[in-house]
Amino acid sequence: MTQTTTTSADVGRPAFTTRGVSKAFVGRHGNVHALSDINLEFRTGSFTCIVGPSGCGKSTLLRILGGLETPTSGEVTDHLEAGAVPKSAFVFQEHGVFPWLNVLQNVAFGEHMANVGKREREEHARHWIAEVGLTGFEQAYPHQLSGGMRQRIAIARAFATGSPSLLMDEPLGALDAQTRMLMQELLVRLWEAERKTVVLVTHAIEEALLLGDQIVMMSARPGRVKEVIDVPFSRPRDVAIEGTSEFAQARQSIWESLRDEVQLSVRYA
Amino acid sequence: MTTTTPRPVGASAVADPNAAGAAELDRAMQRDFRRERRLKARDLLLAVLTPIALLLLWEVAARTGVLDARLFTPPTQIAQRGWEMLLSGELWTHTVATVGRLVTGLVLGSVFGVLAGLLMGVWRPLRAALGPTFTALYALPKIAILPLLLLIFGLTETPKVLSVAISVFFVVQINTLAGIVQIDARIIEAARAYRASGWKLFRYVLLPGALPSIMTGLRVSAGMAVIVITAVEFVASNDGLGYLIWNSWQLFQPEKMFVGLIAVSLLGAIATGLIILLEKALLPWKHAGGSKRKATKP
Ligand SMILES: Nc1ncnc2c1ncn2[C@@H]1O[C@H](COP(=O)(O)OP(=O)(O)O)[C@@H](O)[C@H]1O
Ligand SMILES: [Mg+2]
Repeated sequence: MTQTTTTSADVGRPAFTTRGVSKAFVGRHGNVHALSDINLEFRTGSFTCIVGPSGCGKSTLLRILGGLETPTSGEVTDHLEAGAVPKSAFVFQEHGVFPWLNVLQNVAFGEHMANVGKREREEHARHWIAEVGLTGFEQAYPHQLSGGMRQRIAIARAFATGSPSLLMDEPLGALDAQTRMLMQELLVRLWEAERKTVVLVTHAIEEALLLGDQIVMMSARPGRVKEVIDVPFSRPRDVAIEGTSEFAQARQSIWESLRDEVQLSVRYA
Repeated sequence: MTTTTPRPVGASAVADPNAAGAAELDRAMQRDFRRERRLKARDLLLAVLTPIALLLLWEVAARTGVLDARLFTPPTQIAQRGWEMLLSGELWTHTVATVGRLVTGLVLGSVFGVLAGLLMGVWRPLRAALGPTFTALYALPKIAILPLLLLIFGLTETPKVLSVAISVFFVVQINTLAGIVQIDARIIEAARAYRASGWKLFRYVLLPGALPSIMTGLRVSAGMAVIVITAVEFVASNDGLGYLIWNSWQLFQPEKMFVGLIAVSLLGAIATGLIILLEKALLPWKHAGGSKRKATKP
């Protein structure tokens, strides 16, 4: 495989740095102040989870990191090297896979757009299709598969693109509880093998604790960084930690911190 | 309704309860399968019987004088006349003339319609410049410009083909443009996130995204093209199926008229059928079977 992997010397170097990032949308119904003065550092090879009330600008922050949106003020720098492939590969909540491409073509899409040859990109795609357990479905179209399988296509595509960072926007948000647990295990396993820089937005505190090295908690709109905490659990991890009392305590303290913000956002929603 | 025999609880009356359960499930599935097949056969039979019954009724009514046989030629006589016209080459000549105009007009209209729609879809200034005008022209009944075309081109093939092409153009153009504009913004965002741009964005995202709508446009315009060419041939032609129908009215030859009507309907059905085939070939991702279940209807 020719995937970009992080050497241990890189670990700790910032992959993304945001300095005073703010974002306002100018719209027909007035302006929306989505993000306010975000100062964060995402270390190379780390797994960061972002939690916060809905509408607080989590998706916007992710899109700014990935270059899909420009900040109104402040700046984002990244220290990622990617060559022809994009520096960041996205996983969206839903509707991110192309209905007219089969599984193989969908997974190979990122490298296809980066002009990687057909043989090579399909070889990579097959590898990642196997990693997410979709072998045998290469020729199937997304509508023939379940929601969980479609999300596995999206995850396989992000890994197969070979980008040094992955940006995931509630990738498991639309799945049922059991499928979601399986997919969390899958993500933990894939990430522990690859150690890419991952930023994952989620609305589930448990998910953030299970997957992340650190958790960024955001305030209600305009989104500010309320608190950044380090997750105390060692790696490799598995879902069994959800049963421990440390887990319950950590969840409780994150919830205490978020509750006011969620209440605020509900009041103004 | 079937009833399941109660299973003895705890007792070992059944040697292998799993095997017995599996066999029962198997039988139930077989039953469902046979029932479904019976219903399908019945549907098909009803679909075929209705037109046959109507034709029989017509035949009887015309022969017994309930229907005026001079206007409503009995089906057997129509069939006989159709056979004669086929042998003499008359029917063939008219059909070839109509098909030639239809195909030329359809191809011209759809090629330019798709091109215009796509260009307007990807290039905003063009959309702004042409969109409102095209929408206004779309409302104009295209057959109404035939006299103008006749004035410009005289009584040649050009105005006939152009009438079809222009009618097709607007339908296809509007559907193509709508197809591109309606592509889910989240799909476009995913494409941008993976750095799709230029030709590749067009080829792998915009075009396939718009294709279902383009095919709808083609299907609708095929039906319309048959109407337009028939109407054009009524008034501005000395051959073609439209001419045949119109002429049989003037000469009071209803059986010929019926032959013409049947030929035109067949033509319309074949044109639409071909486009549906094309659609299945171009949109495998819409038609490939899968978990999409059909709701059973009574
Ligand atoms: N393209 C846009 N135009 C206008 N407003 C937007 C746009 N994108 C997001 N917003 C607004 O910005 C705020 C933050 O959105 P988002 O980042 O999607 O929040 P989150 O992902 O945390 O739920 C919301 O109020 C949303 O309506
Ligand atoms: Mg969001």
